[in-house]
This record gives sequence, structure tokens and C-alpha cells, in this order.
Amino acid sequence: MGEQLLNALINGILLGGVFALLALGLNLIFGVVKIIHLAYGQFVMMGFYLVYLFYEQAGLPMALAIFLAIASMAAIGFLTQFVVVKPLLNAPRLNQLLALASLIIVFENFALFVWGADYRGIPFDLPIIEISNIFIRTSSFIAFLGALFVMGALYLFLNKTYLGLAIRAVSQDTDVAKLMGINPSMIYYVTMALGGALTAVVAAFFVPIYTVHPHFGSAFTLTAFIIVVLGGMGNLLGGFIGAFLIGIVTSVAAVLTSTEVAEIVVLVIFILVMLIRPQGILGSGVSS
Amino acid sequence: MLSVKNVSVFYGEFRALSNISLEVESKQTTIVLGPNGSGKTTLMKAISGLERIRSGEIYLDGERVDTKEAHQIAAMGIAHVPEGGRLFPSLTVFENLKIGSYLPKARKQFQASLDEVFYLFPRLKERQKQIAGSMSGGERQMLAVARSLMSRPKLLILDEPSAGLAPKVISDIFNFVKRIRESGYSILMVEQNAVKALQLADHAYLFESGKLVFEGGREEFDTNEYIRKAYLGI
Amino acid sequence: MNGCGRIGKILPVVLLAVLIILPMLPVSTYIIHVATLIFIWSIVATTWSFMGRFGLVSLGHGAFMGMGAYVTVLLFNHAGLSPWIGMLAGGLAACFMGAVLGYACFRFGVIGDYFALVTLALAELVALLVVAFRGVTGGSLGLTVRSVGTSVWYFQFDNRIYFYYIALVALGVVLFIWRWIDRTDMRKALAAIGEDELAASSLGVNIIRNKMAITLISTFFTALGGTIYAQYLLYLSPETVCGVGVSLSIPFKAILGGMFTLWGPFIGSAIIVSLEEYIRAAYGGTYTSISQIIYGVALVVLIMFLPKGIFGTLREKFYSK
Repeated sequence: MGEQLLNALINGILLGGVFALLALGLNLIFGVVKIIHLAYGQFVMMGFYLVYLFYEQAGLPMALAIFLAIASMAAIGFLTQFVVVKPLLNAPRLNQLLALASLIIVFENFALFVWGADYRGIPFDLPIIEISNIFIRTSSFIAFLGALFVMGALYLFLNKTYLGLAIRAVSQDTDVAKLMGINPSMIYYVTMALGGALTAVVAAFFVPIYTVHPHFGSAFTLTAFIIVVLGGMGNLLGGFIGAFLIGIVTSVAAVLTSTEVAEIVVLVIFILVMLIRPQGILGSGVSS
Repeated sequence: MLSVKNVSVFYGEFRALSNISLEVESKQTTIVLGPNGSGKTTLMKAISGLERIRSGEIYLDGERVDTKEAHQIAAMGIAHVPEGGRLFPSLTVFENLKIGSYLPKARKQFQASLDEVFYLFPRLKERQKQIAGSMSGGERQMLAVARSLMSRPKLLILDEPSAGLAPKVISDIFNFVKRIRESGYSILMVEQNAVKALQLADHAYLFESGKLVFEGGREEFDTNEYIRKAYLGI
Repeated sequence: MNGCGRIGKILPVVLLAVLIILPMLPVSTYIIHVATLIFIWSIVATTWSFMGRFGLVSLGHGAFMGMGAYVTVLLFNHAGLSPWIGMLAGGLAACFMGAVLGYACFRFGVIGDYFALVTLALAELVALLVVAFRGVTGGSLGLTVRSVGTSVWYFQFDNRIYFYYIALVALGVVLFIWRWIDRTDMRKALAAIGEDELAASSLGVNIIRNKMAITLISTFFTALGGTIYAQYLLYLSPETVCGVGVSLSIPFKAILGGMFTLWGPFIGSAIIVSLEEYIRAAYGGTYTSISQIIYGVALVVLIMFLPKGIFGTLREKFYSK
């Protein structure tokens, strides 16, 4: 049992790495564009289908397929900003939320229409690493390393480049950012495109692990939000920590009970945290 | 250099500024005085584009300003240091300065600007890596001004740089405004501290309740009876 | 709300008359069916707006609707308890859930986005619990109400028209409650809280008590709506009565019509339910997904161009004349 737990722990950490990417995208969008992207999980789903489309259906090499998927999702993020978010920037909060919620319906049914309701997967045979009775799938390990790499790249981008600094500036004080000569609208587009691209990266990492179907997204959206709120909405480091926590809790709970119960446990923890410390682990103050 | 012509600003039904006309000459220091709520900050925001004007026009070197977006106005060379400084709280001193040079032409001269700013404010150089939000009031104000200087502006707008600071620090603030002035910058400064501000003024305006009630050089302000009593405490 | 002159007073009466005699006219049973659905969803949308109009935006009302429905049906299927009593039990259960969560939120100042997300999580939690206890609830495959033919005591009628009138009466009750709330001090208190909570509390308004009151009322009647829905269709599943999808569709109906008005949620429900049924009838089968895409896009467009909802926008136009 101890080995099983250790196994779960390690897999949880690996899972957490990829979740962290998901949380990063959501946090960026929430911190900068200041919207709650309810359809984010569906973006991941679309990213998955796109990899499937380019690799399995169009027969392109995997690297190219992933690249095209990332580019496409960046474009979709851009379009979402253009068509849905921008017109509603000054609308009541609820309207923004519901408009994005409607996108859930649009994307899920789009996937249903194009690819049908069957589960689609991309067969991938990667070896399983065994270290004294601990089993790690290579794909999970690669995903973990890949996620860390992407996060590192994002860290450099946000801290060392002008555009990255501009994004952080807009998230902290939009008015003063304008005084610096930063065009907030352009930053919103960049952030949404970046958020979109990240979903495709996450999807690419998930390819060897999961199979996709039109309702694939919902589970991820809620999990992603739980992570983000847990860590403190808009706080990138918090999201990072939250991702690993949730990854571990989910993995361990699944081993101790069942996947279903694990989901319930996560939800209960979420609700409890919201009630006790709504700003999350690293959040500062509750804003409405 | 900066021409404000008959500008009015409304907040809903409330008239915050009534028909303000004002000139800022190049390389000069122009002061705007007046009590709280007289519309001084509103005018600054109107110039830098954070507020829309209801009527009137604003020109910078002949080019129309009030029809543009705030970031475009910044690109034209107007740098506004808002009330309270408003730094980016979780960015470091260095990062705040760097983002100040976001504009393309400012970027090219980043190193030169940085050297200049560190020369004017040596304490900032020491604290480069410090998080902006953790600095003292006076240091934050200095950083805010330094940040705006990084954009190599034509016109520097300072909104109440001494507000809320301790007397010793206020002296420091006015000293460095003096040094910036001596470096040849054009300055438009809003202040409540009339005595100290007038010492730096080439030209000054007095606002009350959103209207312009007096303008003139330092001499005219110093010798005006009403102003001496009401604002200079004499 | 004051009527816009005589039209405002006559119109509802005319509407009511039409609705009452509708089933007696030679209209197809399908129309009666759609109308019944509209009434039921109007009930839920209106009770949602009890909270929503004061800034207590819940994205999880599916939890309460589902609670009402499942408690009633489970008590009937397994214990033979009359749904009328079960309905009360369901309402109380939903109330209890709302009270616990509500109190915790209000006590700790969880408002706005955070409140919305907590309610969303609650809805998903209820749906997951239903699925997890599939032995009792039938899980994601759903639950069928044990049929007893026609029985007033067991709230089942072979003749669907009974449900039409029951739903209509229930809707009337809910609208009456809306009106009643509008006239109480509670409404003024909640309006003040909605605008500026801090200011309101400094004026002596008891934040928690007022918020709790409206939450209890809202959740209770939402649960009743859920029960009627279950009894009418004789079938329920997590997808149809609880979970995220339902929870998001409820505020939609309220907002589309005009979340702050009496008739808004009804109009919004009428439009959305009609839209859904039309699309299903005209395009059902092969084109379900396309029709759903159109539906989703239509929702986005409607939200963008009618931010105050149809009724709200119309009312503005009337008043500005």
C-alpha cells in the first residue's frame, strides 16, 4: 500500500506539472483581461482534437501537428477576444460569464459535429519506467518536464521582455500602463492568444495519456478553476502551488478510494477553502 | 508647447472643469494651484487621456491631443506621474523603470536614460531589486517620477508629488523637481503646497471649483492680496 | 414595479386570460407541452432572480433544482411518499443546503466572482454525488418516476393539461412572491447591500440576515420548480436537473428577459425554451449539433446586443418616451 501511495504521489506531482500550465493560462487571462474564462477546458479539448486532426487525420509528423495545433489555438484565443470579450469589456460581469459559458455549448457541439461522440485517441506506445516497484509512464514524465520547460520560458518572457513586463503592468494597473504608452487592447489580444496557445500545449502533453470526446472539457475547466482559486486568483505562483496540491490530492484520493470520489473530495476541499480563505493560499484580499 | 483651449470635463451631470485655457511653454515649469477638489487632477487626466473632455481642445506642439487614446498621447511625449505615484506594486524598482521606457524610441535609449535617472536619484540605484510596493513614501514618489523620465518625454506632468509625505521628505521632493527642472525638462505640476511650488514656477495658474481664477508669473502671485492670504498664509 | 400606465395593468390580465383558456382552444398538445415547460423554467428563472437581482449571482442553482427533484422522486420511488410532501422535503433540503453554504459565504464576505464560483462548485458537487450514489439515484443514466397512472395524491396525471395549470398556478405564486418581496423592507435593504455593502452595514443594515432570507426563499422555490419538472416528465437525470449546464442556463433565461423585472425571467424562459424546442423539432436528429452551435451563437449574440434583456430594454424605451 505504501508503494501504491508513493506511486500515486509521484504521478500526482507529474500531473500537477501539466495542471500548472493550465492554471497559468487561466491566471494570466484572469489577471490581465480580468474575465473568468469558463470555456477554458473546452479550449483544451479543441487543442486535443486539433492535434488529432493534424496527426492522425492529415498524417503530418507529430511535431508539426503540435505546432499547428498551438498556432490554431492561439488564433482561436485571438478571435475569442475579438468576437466575444472585447465587445463585452464594459458589460456587467454576469453577461461576460454567460457569454463565455455559451462558448462551451458552441465548442462542444462543434467537436460533436466534426468528430462525433466517440472517444478519439492517438495510440502512443511509450515504455514504462520502473524504479523499484514504482511505475512511471514515460509520457507523464515527458509531460512534466515539458511543462516545466514551458513554464520556465514563460517566466523569462514575463520577467525579461518588454512585452512580458507590459502584460504584468496591465494586470496590476491598467490606467498607469496606458500612461507608459502600452495599448491595453493589444495586450488583451496577446494574452488571449497566449492562453489559447497554452491550452494546445497542455493538450499535446495529454495526448498519450487521455482519449478525447466532446465533453472532455468540462472536467478540466472546473479543475483548472479550483486550482486557480486555491492558489489565489491571478497569482501565478499560487496557481503553480495549487496545481501540484490538486494533482497530488486527486492522484492519492483516486488510489485510496476511486476516481469519482477523488473528484468529490477535490470539490469539497475547494468549497471549504473558499469559505475559510477565499483569497486562496497566496492571494491578497478578496475582491468582488 | 502645450495648449489647453476652453476645456470642460463632466462627470455625469457634474461639471468638474469649466472652460479652462492654459499654456505650458517649452523648458519652463508651470504650476497649477488650488484647493482640494478644484479640478486640478481632472485637468491632468484630461491632458494625458485618462479622462475624456466634453468640449474644448488640447494641443501639443500644434498636434491635437484630446482625440487620442492615453497610450497614443504618451507616445507623443506627454508623461503623467499620477497622484500618489501609482507604481506597479509587485514589480521591482528596475522593472518599473524598464517599463517606463516601453515606447520604441525610449527603448533604444534605455541604458542612457537609466544612467541619467540613477544620477538624479542615487538611492534608486541602490534599491534596484527591491519590490516597489515595499519602499517608503518618498522613495516611491522618486521612483514614479524616474519611471516617467525613462520615456524621454517632452512634457512631464507631476500631480501633487509632495502629497501625504513627511516635511523632511517634502523638501527632498521639491529639491529633485528643481534638479529635473535644471536638467531642461518642461514641467506641468499640480501642487497644494503653494509656497514651495511657487518658488519653482515660471508661470502659475490658480483653480477654484473647476474654474481658472488667476494666472501669472511668480511675482504676480506673490504680490496678490487674496492669494497671499488664502494660499500663502501671509 | 409600476405599470407603464394602463397598458401595464391591462396586458398581464389579458395574458393571463389567454393562458387560462389556451388548452381549451384547438391548439396542438405539443404547444401545451412547450407552454408547460416554459412555465416550469420561468418558475426556476424567477426564483433565481430573487437573488440575482440583488447582486447575489448564483451559477449553481441546478444544485437546488436537482435537490428538490431527486429528494421528491427518491422518497416516492423508495418509500411511497406523496410528492406533495416530498416536494416540501425537497424544498427544505435545498433550503438547508443553501442556508449552510449561504451562511458560510455571507459570514466570511465571499461575494461576487468568488460566490459565483462556489455555487458553481456546489452544483457540480451535487451532480457528482448523484452519479456516485448510482445505486440509489440511477447515476448518470437517470431516474424514472414509478408510474401510478393518474393520481392527485401522487402528483401524476395521464392528462398533461393538469400539469399545465399546476405549473401556471405555481408560476403565479412565484410572481406574487416576487411582487411581495418588492414591497418589503428586505428589498430596500438588499438593494442597498447590492450597491455598497460596506455603506449599507454602516447604516445598520443586517447583511447576513437579509442575504440569508432571500437565499432561503430562492432555494426553496427553485427546489419546488425542480419537483414539478420531475413529476411532469416522469424522468430526471443529473444532466437535466442539476450540474453545471443547467445551472448556467437558468441565469440565462432570467437575464435574456430582463433580470431585474417581474416578467423578465418569464419572457426569457419563453424565448429560450421556444428556441430550444424549435431547433429540436426542425433540426433534430442528424443536425442536433449544428442546431446547438447555432443556439450557442444565438445566446452570445443576444447577450451582446441585449445586455438588459428584452423586457428591460423595452421598458427603458417605454420610459424614455
